[in-house]
Amino acid sequence: METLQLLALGFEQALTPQALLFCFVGVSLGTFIGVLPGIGSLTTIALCLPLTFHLEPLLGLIMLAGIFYGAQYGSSTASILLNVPGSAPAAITCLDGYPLARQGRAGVALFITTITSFIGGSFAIILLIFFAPVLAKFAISFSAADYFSIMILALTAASTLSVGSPVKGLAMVTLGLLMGLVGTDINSGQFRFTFGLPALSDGINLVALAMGLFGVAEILNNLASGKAPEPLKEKISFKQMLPTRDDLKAMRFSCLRGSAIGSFIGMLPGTGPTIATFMAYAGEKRLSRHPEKFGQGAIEGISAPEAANNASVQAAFIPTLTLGVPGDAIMAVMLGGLLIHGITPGPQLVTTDAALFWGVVASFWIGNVILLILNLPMIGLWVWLLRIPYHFLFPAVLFLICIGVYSVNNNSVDVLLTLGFGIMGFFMNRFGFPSAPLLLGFVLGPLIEENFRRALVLSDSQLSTFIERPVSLVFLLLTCALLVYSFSRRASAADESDTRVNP
Amino acid sequence: MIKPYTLILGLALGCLLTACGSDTSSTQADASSFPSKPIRIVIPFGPGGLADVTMRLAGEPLGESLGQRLIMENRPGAGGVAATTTMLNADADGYTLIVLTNGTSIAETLFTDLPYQVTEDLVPITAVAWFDLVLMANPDAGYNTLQELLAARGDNLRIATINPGSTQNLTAELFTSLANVNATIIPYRTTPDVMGALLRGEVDLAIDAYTALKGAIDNNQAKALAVTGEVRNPAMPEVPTALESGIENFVVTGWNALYAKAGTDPAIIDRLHDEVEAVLATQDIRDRFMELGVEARATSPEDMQARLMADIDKWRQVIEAAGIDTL
Amino acid sequence: MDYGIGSFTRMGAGFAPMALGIALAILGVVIFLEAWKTSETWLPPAWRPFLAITIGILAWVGLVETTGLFIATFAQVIICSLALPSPRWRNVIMLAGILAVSGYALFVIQLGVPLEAIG
Repeated sequence: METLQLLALGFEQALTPQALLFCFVGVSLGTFIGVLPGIGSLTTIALCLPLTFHLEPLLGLIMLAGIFYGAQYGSSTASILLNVPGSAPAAITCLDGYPLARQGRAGVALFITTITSFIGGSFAIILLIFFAPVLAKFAISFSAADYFSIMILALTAASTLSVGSPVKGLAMVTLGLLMGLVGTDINSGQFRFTFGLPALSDGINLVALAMGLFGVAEILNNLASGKAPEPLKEKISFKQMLPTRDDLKAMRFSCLRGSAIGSFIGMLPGTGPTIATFMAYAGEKRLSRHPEKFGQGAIEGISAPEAANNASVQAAFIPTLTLGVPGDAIMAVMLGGLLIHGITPGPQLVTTDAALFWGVVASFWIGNVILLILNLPMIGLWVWLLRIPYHFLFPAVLFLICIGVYSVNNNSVDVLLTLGFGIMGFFMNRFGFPSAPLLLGFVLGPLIEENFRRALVLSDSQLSTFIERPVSLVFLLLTCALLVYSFSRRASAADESDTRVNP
Repeated sequence: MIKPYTLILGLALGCLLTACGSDTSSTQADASSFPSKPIRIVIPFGPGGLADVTMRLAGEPLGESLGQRLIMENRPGAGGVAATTTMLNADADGYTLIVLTNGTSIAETLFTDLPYQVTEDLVPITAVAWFDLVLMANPDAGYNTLQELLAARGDNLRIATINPGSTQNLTAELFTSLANVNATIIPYRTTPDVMGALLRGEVDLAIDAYTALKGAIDNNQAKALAVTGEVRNPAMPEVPTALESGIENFVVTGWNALYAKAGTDPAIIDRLHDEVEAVLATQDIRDRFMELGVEARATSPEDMQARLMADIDKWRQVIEAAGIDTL
Repeated sequence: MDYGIGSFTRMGAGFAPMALGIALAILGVVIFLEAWKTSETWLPPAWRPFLAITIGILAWVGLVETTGLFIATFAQVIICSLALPSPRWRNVIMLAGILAVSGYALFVIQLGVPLEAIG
């Protein structure tokens, strides 16, 4: 079959010593950077892009791509160990990853996330290899109304993210939506909530928000409320790092579901891994027979988001490589890198520069394998890190957050914002307001509003467009189904007089 | 045993002295020894963007001919505020330069309350790159010329551009007023989104920079109907200009230029100007810029400043006519 | 400045902010009423750690662009360490040094973030 032949060609390209070297460098750098809180893959790629100018295009691409998906592997490490996300999408892994670590199962958590990251990535790569052109066409056909309906589904699913008072959770989503509106209104060019500050005219920086709300707030929580977490005293044997049979069973399907959701969201231009991970988590919680386990260390709570994370990141290459339309901001930067080398991504790239295309695709998979091999032994190292006394750990984490956030835009105002959000997050936690819904609202808000208004402009103010477009209709129906399902569940739960823990 | 507090104090004092020491050592740069250390070039965009890429490409040979490394410093941020502020915090010794673009001329109107005046606090060295915007239609729509499209869709034309306040968006505004059409401009977040809209047939026309859409045009995903420059784009010689297509007075050309801080020694400015001009004239740079759809062309400082002022006026009129918000 | 509300099908720039603002206000009232019914009081945060971290980060931001990464990092680590009751200063200084040097190596040298080491 021709695809397999081309794939073989690609592997030939990707298995040369140089290609392997750059792949290794890319994924290692990516993982390392991903572990560091504050600095995410976008920043890293943007910063490493100039390094690749002098490399051959294939090698440069391999390295950049390696950094990209490598960072996703690493970013959950900090989430699990420190409750501080390595990047914005990894924030959701904090919810169940950190409790697992607290229970002494950090090794298991890390093991599971590594495996599911690999599965998620491979899933998306298979899609890329065999179905890329079809999927790309499908993805690009999504118009504003379709995006809107997908985001509405995401928002509805997000209401499961809150632990405790649903009203407070709803308030946080609303606040997040409002905060997402800060900046320039895309449909009219009006400045909103900018208070006359040009720094705000681009909106609030997502990294600053995520690092503040989850990172700085976490440290403030640990220190300013009375007691510091003791480091783990027991030595963890290798046996203990392995998941139990129950864990693996929990992981099985949640990981596949996460991969599917991640791939789907990833290939839509304009969405990002953050949405994918949140949706995967929310989906798991909704579908689970024991939703109360989530937030206490549910395996599904880390395996689905992690699979989704890596799947979305690989799937973002689908529209990028086959249509020349970047799947998200990071892809846009990489496209810039391609253009510098005189390569024009698009349908003809697949045919005219087949060696390059398939070489890059093959290197994706090789990179994922390298990451798997690299990360598994490192679990012991990371768990050992937990034994570092907190009084060393927290200034280091704060430093990394400061410089990491700074390096996104070389702007110290972002770091001030991070501090502000940290303080806000701290008080939010004290008063029982959950942070995850705020982050999700923040990410979804602008997309929902923008697409709603654009859909109406495109349809000449006909609201029916949301039902007439098949994709939009499907997602709206799914949203209704979700609402009905959760209401009926709640009704039957009330019947059973199920006592819920209210913190 | 040294007490910890003494140690801390000593270290702090040492650091402070070093910091002070390095500050007072900067003297007025001597034009004859220029450059004696690496030169910073502040870029108001992130890596991978057009301004960044063209500057880096030109920066290599430029660094060689100047005998010193050129360090690119990306300081993205709305209106170029972050970049300009960084620039103005440096000394006027020619060792810190900034890239301005036609976006700067737009920002002058959009951001009214800035702590600096671009036209007074910065002085031009030379232009570096020039590029057109392209008006594109969906190839399956069957229009071969701009006139055909306007004739068929002129009373309900849909134009896709990126965000309001960008050069592309303002160009669309200018176009609708000069072409006398009833148009709805639909802004999208990024160029790929604009491309997507065109591919889906949601819009009739897309206006964006040639560089960003070169790939799509070459792939036949978009059909270039007209270019916005004064003369035809050498990379697409069969595509007429908008002027030729009958839109009177409609000319838009984007540019990148190198600027220094006001007060820099004129001899240094001249030196930089000549070096950049020489680099831009080399075949290699011209070719590599052309691959990006960009023309490498230097200008005299006076011409550059005149162009900046003219563009500020031009876009101010467009912004006011379109009713776009200013800060 | 046109923050017109517009209509539901033709939203102006002001529609979403207003709608969300109203929603948030209503939710705020509901939460307030819920809280009114309970008799919890809030615990004030431990002020020393809170201030130590806040001022530490502020110090980093204030110093990093003017005096360079090293001084800013030292200041931040030292001030933040005051969050814990009896910091061991030798360890703190060592930590600060390690972070400053490795941070500089990774971010400034390798990744090209425009910060000076000193000055």
